[in-house]
Amino acid sequence: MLIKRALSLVAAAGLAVTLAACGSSATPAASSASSAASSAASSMMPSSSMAAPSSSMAPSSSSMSSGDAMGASLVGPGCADYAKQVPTGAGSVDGMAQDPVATAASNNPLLTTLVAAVSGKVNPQVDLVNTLNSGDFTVFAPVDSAFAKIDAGTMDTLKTNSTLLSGILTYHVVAGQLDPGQVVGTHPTVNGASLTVTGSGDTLKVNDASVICGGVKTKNATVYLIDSVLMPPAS
Amino acid sequence: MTTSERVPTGEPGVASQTPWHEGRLGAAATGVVAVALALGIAELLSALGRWVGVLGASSSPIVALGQTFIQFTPEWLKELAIRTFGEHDKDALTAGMLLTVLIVAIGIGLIHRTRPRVAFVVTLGLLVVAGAAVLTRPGADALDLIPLAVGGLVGVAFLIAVARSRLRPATPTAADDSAKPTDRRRFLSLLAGGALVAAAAGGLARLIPSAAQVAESRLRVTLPTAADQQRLDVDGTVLPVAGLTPFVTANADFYRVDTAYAVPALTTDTWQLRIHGAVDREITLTFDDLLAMPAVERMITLTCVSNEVGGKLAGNARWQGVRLADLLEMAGPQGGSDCVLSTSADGFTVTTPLAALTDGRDALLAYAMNGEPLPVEHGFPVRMVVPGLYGYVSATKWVVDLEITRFADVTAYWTQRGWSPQAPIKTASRIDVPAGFARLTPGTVAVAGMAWAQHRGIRGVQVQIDDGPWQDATLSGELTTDIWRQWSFPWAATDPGIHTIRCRAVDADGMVQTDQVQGVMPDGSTGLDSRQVTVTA
Repeated sequence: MLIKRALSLVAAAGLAVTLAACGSSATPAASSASSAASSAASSMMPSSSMAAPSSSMAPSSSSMSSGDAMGASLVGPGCADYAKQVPTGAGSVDGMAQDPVATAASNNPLLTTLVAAVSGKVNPQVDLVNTLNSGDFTVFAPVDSAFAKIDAGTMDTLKTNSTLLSGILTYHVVAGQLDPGQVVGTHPTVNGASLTVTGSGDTLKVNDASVICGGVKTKNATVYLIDSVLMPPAS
Repeated sequence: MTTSERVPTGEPGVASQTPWHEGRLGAAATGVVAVALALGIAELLSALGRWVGVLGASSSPIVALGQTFIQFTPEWLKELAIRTFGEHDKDALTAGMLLTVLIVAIGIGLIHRTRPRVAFVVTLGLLVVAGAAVLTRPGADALDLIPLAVGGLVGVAFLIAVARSRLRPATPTAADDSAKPTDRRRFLSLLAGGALVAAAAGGLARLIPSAAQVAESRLRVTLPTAADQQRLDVDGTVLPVAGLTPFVTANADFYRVDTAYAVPALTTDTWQLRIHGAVDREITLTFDDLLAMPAVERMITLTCVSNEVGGKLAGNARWQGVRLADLLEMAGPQGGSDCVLSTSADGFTVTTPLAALTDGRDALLAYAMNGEPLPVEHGFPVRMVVPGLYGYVSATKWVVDLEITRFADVTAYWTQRGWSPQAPIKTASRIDVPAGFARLTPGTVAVAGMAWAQHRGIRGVQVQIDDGPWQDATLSGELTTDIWRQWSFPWAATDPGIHTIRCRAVDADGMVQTDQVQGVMPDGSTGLDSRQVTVTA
């Protein structure tokens, strides 16, 4: 009697083992398809900021580079302050990742003057918004206090001298996205002239300007907030 | 070897429990149930984790062990398996592995009968080996160890419980555990309970759809030929400009916008669509039902409402499916209803004007994209495609439910977040070449891009250089009003310096694309695309 019971229990256990085996993706052969599919699926996953209230405001495409979703390598002494000042919303680190660079900058309270300058509000002839949104770039973005350092006379000239303003603005843009590990060095800007990034770790300088917080991702560009406006070399 | 031995208890007249020993068979069963428990629970947790997208394939201990086993199988054994079992060689090797696991489990049980502590150590050792197998799989990380850890804990707890069901002997003996009588009732209920839980966990794990099952389901689909196919001369109409967006967007390049944390895993055998609400007849469709219905194939350009000016969230593909108008007619929408609330498998909702689905346009319940079953991330097995409306009000992927209702009574996902309930696609055009900030040598520069105004059609595209006049561009053929058009313009770029290029489209009603700049919220962006470039000296 007991033998029968024990045998039926062993049979049940054997069934369980078999079911469990089938419960996985069948065989290891099939599982390589499954692991390929799941790794393909995970690279298609939306960036983690999908979950944040800030960026669930707009339908946005899955980030192909899901690696940088995790508040990746930001550099600079001012990142903590920036995060404190803009913790959530479209202008935060996570929020900026969802938008193309000019749109992202327009949501960042630290960049209001720059945004006005690139969108035709300083000089109606100079509207770079669509151009900035259109390709992969690295943008060195002077914050509002950087523009405050420019004297009023020069700012007035920029309102009418579109070649000068355009030349200055394009001197802050480099083709291609450079993350903090790649940004040190000399790079040609879309202006034609080159700039040089020096330093290491959290202390980076772009020509004579200091990086406040850099490596901020937007949909098409990597942004470095800097504390001074860069002047192209006189040609 | 018997499982029941009667040992005299001593004092006559005193009722006492007959000492019972589980014996070797009972011990073997203990080991097998313990391992089955550990594996069953680990597999269930792994399947759940993979389903929601937090764990990888290597979190399944059986998969990890199997792959490791195969990796270490000597070549001669692999060749023997191929020679003997042919196609089923991997199955044979897996069976061999499971047999090994069974033997090990029996071994653990037998050791546990005499020396439970040794059995624990052996079990822990095996868990470490299994853990190493999991971790050494490509792409595995620490999270993938969780199912094995939890399963292992349960298995060990089971062994401890069985050990506890052994009683202290009436007389002290120096013998090992096998001399200890076992509480028979407790032992048998533990064994039965353990086997039951293991079987349930394993069975449940099997029910959870895995990415492999979905991929397999997709491969097994045989697409019927659509009775109604468009005859389009795409090749004869495409503009030969380098750098221009391809006219038909390949599935792999098609833009993807959705809120799915992990892509819903639906297979064709489990998929069903329920059409209900304010209708005369409720309908439930299976995948086979859908494929049996007369189908059409149409080329339709889709775009996302959050596409910024000049953005790339637009794509053009051939879609095959059943006309939603036909399905809705079968259901019989009742008067007063103006809205269809569609739901995705993951709970995402969309509201679409009923009129747009029944006014004669090619609104489809689609199951094929560019000649293949829908890719999993683009809505497999079935989605909606409606020309002329932004995706968030029309293009429900992984659709499983259609409710005919009124806009006044329901709000869909994005509408709840402030987006417009009605969203016809706005006229748009963008510049593909030259690239922004390009430095160009003087000469003729090919300026080219795309334009769309789905369901109205594009009549023309114009280009402006700096403050010059708007000039007409050449367009690719006008195929249908639901498909975008390419445009190109040869610019005599002779003047060195900075220049701005702008484009604008005119739709078939003669309406010129507005230059008012508006952001994407609440119903789509407007504004003219532009590029600043430099012509070198």
